[in-house]
Amino acid sequence: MKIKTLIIEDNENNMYLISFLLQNNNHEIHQAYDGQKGVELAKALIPDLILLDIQLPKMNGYEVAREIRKDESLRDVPIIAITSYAMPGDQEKALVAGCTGYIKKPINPDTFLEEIESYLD
Amino acid sequence: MIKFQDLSIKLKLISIQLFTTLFILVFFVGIYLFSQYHQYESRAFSRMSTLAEILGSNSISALLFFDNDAATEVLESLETQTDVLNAVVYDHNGDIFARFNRDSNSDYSFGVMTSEMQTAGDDHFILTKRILFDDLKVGWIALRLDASNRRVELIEAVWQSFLLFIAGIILAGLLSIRMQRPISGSIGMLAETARQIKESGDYTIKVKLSSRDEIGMLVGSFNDMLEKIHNHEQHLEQLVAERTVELEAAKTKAEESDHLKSAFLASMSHELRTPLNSIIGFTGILLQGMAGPLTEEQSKQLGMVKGSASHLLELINDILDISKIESGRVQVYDEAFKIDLLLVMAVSSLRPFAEKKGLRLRHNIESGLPKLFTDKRRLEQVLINLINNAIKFTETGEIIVNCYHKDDSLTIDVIDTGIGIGEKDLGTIFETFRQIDTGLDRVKEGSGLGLAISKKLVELLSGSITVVSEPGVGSTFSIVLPFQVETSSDED
Repeated sequence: MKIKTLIIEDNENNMYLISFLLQNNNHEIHQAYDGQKGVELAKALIPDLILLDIQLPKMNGYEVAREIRKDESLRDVPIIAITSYAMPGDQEKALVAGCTGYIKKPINPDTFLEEIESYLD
Repeated sequence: MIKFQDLSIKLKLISIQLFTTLFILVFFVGIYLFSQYHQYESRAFSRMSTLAEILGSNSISALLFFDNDAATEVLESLETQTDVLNAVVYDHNGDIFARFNRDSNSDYSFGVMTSEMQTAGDDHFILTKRILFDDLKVGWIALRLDASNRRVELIEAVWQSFLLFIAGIILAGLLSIRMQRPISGSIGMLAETARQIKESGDYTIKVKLSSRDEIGMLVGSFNDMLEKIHNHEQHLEQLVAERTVELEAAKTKAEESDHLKSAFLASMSHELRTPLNSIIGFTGILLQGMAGPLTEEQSKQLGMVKGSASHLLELINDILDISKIESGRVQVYDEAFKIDLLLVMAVSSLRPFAEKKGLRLRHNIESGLPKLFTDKRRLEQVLINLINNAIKFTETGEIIVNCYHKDDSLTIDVIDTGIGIGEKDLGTIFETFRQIDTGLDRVKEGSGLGLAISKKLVELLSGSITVVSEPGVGSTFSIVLPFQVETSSDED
């Protein structure tokens, strides 16, 4: 049984990188390139895991997280923020918005999978 | 006892006038009383002399004709002169010829007549005089006058003087109260105005010019000074207002640019990391062989790409860090934790890098240290930076991390046996971008910001960082942090 993972990320390279890393590790990948699309897909798919970039067009990551958490059926889905923000408080903001955890950019392929594992039961 | 110099000017002036008056009165009343006393005597003698003259000449015929009765009759005319006590007429031999006694039983013996004389006794005056007829002595006349009045009169004069004295003092007092007014009034007004100005700070108040004397000059100068102060103050206020406007404009501009700077930083952070994210990520994937096998040369070159990308990321992180610190955007999250655990973790994570260079990295931590209450992540960042530097600049030997407490603070020493720092660089080593100027081997890659960041972070944690070094022997970087009182209640 593959893990149904939704990646919400606007940068094509990063999307490819994350997808590549997860595809080879038993994840079924679904992609959204903006926040709005991400919320729609999340509601439609009810994924097992959501990877969420913070700086997104149309709707930023915090709003996406808040929107997703409003849906009863998405309440317990782990949302992992991928933060490239270096400003203080960004990670805290992500957690307040409803994210389960965060991974700092740039993604380190050596440890990325382990980090993801730790958020899945 | 109030001292004279502490009295108000009004009281001073009044008392000066009163004392002057008092002194003059005492002086003149004294002279008056003295002369009164003496005049009484001379008046008495001159009267007695006149009486003796008259009585004497009236007695001449009686003496010439040996008519005692006629002489006694002459003397009895003294009845009207109530203060004459005794009077005696002597013949030319000095024998008593006729006598008059005011009280019949109060005879008085004048003694032997030898020469004319006048004597002042305590309560009586005595005068003896020749009776001459055509320059021929025909007898003597002697008078005794009651002088007990003299004391009464003197007392009366003293009493009168005293009343005059009191009246004089009262008059002088009233006059001086009236006359000191222009002087003490203007000085008082000046003092009162000065007080008002002091309390209100209103320099537009003016003192009314009341006279053209020295006080008037003082008031004039005072008003001039007030005007100058007022003008100066207005000028200052104007300056302050101008500067405030300028400062506000500058502040708005600074805030604006600060806001722009932080927005720029946030976006740069994102923009710079996004491509790096791909570079590091894909290089990692390729190196791990996830996308297929690589030749040795390809692995080597990809390793260089990864190393450079990591270095670039480090630079970006450092620049962002120093920008954040310098713009005061670093928040400190204090928590209580055990320093030994943090140190052991930091040392263990860096030990592989030290061992790769053939260096020993060890720690020496005092046991039983109390918990530290500070920002754990920031302290860790500083420690890793210092240990990393030590590894970077040491070729042989070892790196020791000592941790111990001293008084109310904790000291962490990072000691290396590296190249050391020259004396002229020691002072500037914690300044931003300093490494570039030191001429140190550029192989030791870094942004040159590590120590500046470390210093600023340690200061942010209320601590201090210092360095002692000898070129070719090694360096010791010391962090001193206070054991702050723990305000949170978490325990493990």
